[in-house]
Amino acid sequence: MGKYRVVGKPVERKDARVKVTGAARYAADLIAPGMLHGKILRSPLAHAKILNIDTSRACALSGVIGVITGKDFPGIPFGTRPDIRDQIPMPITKVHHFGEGVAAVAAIDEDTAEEALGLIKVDYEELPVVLTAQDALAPGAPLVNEFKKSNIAYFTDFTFGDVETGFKEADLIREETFSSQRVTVGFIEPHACLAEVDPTGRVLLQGSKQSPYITWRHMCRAMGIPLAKMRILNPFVGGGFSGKHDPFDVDFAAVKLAQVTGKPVKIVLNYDEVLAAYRQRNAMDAKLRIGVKKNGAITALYAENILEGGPISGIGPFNIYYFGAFLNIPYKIPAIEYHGKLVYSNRSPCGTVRGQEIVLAQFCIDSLLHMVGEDIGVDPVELRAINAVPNNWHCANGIVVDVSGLGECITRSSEKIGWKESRKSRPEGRGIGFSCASHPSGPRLGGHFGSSVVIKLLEDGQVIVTHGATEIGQGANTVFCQMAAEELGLPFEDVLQGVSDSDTTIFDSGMFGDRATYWDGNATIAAARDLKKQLAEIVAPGLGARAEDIEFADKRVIVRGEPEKGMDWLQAVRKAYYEKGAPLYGRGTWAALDIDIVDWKTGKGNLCHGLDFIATAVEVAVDTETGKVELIKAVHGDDAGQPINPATLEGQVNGGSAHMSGHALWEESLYDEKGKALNYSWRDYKQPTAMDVPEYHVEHIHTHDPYGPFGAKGAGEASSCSTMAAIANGIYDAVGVRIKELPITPEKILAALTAKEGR
Amino acid sequence: MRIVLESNFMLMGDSDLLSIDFDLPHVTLAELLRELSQRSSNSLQVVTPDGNAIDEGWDIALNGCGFAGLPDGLQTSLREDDRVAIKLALLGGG
Repeated sequence: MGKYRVVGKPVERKDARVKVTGAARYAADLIAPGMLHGKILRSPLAHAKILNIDTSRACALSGVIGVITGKDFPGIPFGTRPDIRDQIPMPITKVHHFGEGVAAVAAIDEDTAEEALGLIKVDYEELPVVLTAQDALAPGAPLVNEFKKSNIAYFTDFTFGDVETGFKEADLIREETFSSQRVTVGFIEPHACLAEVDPTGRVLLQGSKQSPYITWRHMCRAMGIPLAKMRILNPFVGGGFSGKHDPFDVDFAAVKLAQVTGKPVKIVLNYDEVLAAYRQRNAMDAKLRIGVKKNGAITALYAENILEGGPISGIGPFNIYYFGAFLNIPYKIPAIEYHGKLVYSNRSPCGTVRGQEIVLAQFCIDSLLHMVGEDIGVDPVELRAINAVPNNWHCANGIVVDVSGLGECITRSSEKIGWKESRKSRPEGRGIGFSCASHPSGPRLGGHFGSSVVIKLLEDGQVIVTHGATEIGQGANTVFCQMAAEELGLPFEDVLQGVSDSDTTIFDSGMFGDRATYWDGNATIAAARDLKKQLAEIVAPGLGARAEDIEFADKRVIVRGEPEKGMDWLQAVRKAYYEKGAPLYGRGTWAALDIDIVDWKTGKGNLCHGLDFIATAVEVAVDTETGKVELIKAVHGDDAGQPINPATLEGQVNGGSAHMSGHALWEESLYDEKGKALNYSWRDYKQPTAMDVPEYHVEHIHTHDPYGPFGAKGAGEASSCSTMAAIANGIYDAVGVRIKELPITPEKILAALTAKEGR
Repeated sequence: MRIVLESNFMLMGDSDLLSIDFDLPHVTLAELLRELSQRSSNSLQVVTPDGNAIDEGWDIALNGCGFAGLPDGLQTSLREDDRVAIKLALLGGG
């Protein structure tokens, strides 16, 4: 800890003041001269043929400048996987879910645009709907996606190790089913964008995007324009949680309307639209069978998992993959068999949500682990410690755990929550639950998968760090500035953060999967070293030294071993500018070339570096009269390697946990029997607020990842993965009822108590 | 003529394909990829619609040599037992 000046310190976030004062400009705040306002007409039906769309009355309304439908796009499909391109910007022949955009209007103001929507007449022929996995897989089920001849969007079958022998060696085998509901992503800023087209036809899109390069490439493909004809610039983004990667109808409509009208077009969704029709987490039906020895050691695991994912595959194949691949971690499981399916439905499209579907896998495994622990009489904490992966662990599927602090995480969280003391005496209805999890610091997806950072040296000696990974509220900009300051020997205040811009920012594969701190962090260090090398070559001759002997510390440039020979940083900068005419840019790229590209067929390979670990303990109180659950206290023993900024890291850990407490207890996106969304307002959709979350404690377990920047790992998603099972296990510990179907509502608890007590 | 296929995904969508036989004396890489697209149950578009380039999202290699290293590109003639690797890249994150 003591060896760093800036890294490891809870410095103030670079964006803190502009955000808390309301000065930060988000997409909805943007204004362009002559700007029009766009609105999207949404389908009232979940599944229907589009027979005709008559826009004539809308076009005739005074103040309406442009109207578009799906037919205005070239009909080129796009998709997350190049072999499953199964979506288009707006539907042409049929609608696939309630709230799908079927037309859009640009007008001189929002009211006129809204009025025009009411003048568009769409003739539909209603089709039977597919709402659940069972519906989708039923013989003769209506087909949902016109690009596929089956409702199975994707499937996979993995076998790691000798499963048959593993179960034979078990002293106890237990099988259980689990399910999880649809939940929304839950970012605070609804989708919004401003599109402009310049006289040459070049598009500028400023939007609320999590990974602008992903949006950029998908949009150019689907609109049939070359990459050079579109520029994407990121304003401030109000959260993403994986719900803002893809281009949506809002983005396509704004760009097309701008092209059609020749004027800037801004579309800002309201939150009802987001909750009704945009990305959600897959619903899950899973079955797991586990074999354990008498001491609790796991010998084998069998898992079946069906995800219902809406009418497009999107990132769904990766969700299926991750569920299976991460059955291998955080516990030592020598043999695993996994069968996963993703099915289409006529509910809102799914992407993923914080933690990917490791969240769901871990809910299943850690709930089941608690059950078998009780069967064999092994303490929950001991059970997890027995099975925790150690350093240098080779998982059955080939993932190599370089450094694991999981054992220490378990110890610290159980001590801090007071597990042993609670066994002696505790109030009625109180219980403590445990769960562990691990999350990778970004997988190797194939194609351009690296991260790049540029550091620009300014004339006054300050530097600007620009990356393509996107600040979406998680604090990435701040930790990159800390890393650059540390490496360059500059004060944190002298390092500024640039803006993601597809014209000027080096390509980056995006902000997801805990990858940014790790991948872009390493790229930041590389960029800083590149900048130092260039500056050293300029100043070294004047210092009578070799460039490789120049060091940078405390805002000075000195000769190694001869601190009296040196100059101020600013003097060195001016030497570069004024004597050499050499404005400097440091450029850094990082990619984990030694890990394996995702093998979709087998699930095998060393998928990632930087596995972060967590052990979560949650104390709950259950009211046996009402079934209401109160979260009292949560302790996270968290191994994120070297914390770069402990304050933002705690925010990430606690945020992920709070997020999934909503999934565990309160949230559910509901639909009626025809697929119409029912609770698409914040009045009816219940996310946790500050009033609902427990007292949080984060115990930082310092490890040093050999590949991570300054030894850091990714962070923020592991607590998402550990929280739900910890809550379920805590409820069981409190009142002795096991709820395996999320969300764990008071009604389910009361029904289970009634069944248990025969009352 | 038999061409050995390597991939990191189910080439045919619902099933895998480890090799493909042609009743032709000469087959180009473009012809092979077109044949695979026709056989797949998914929208397997490996070559751009104009037929001139590998589409985005694909890494293609012949006998370990990346596509960029093939002087004749898509018109490269394939030989018996050549190994063609077709690997997909994911455009998007979790």
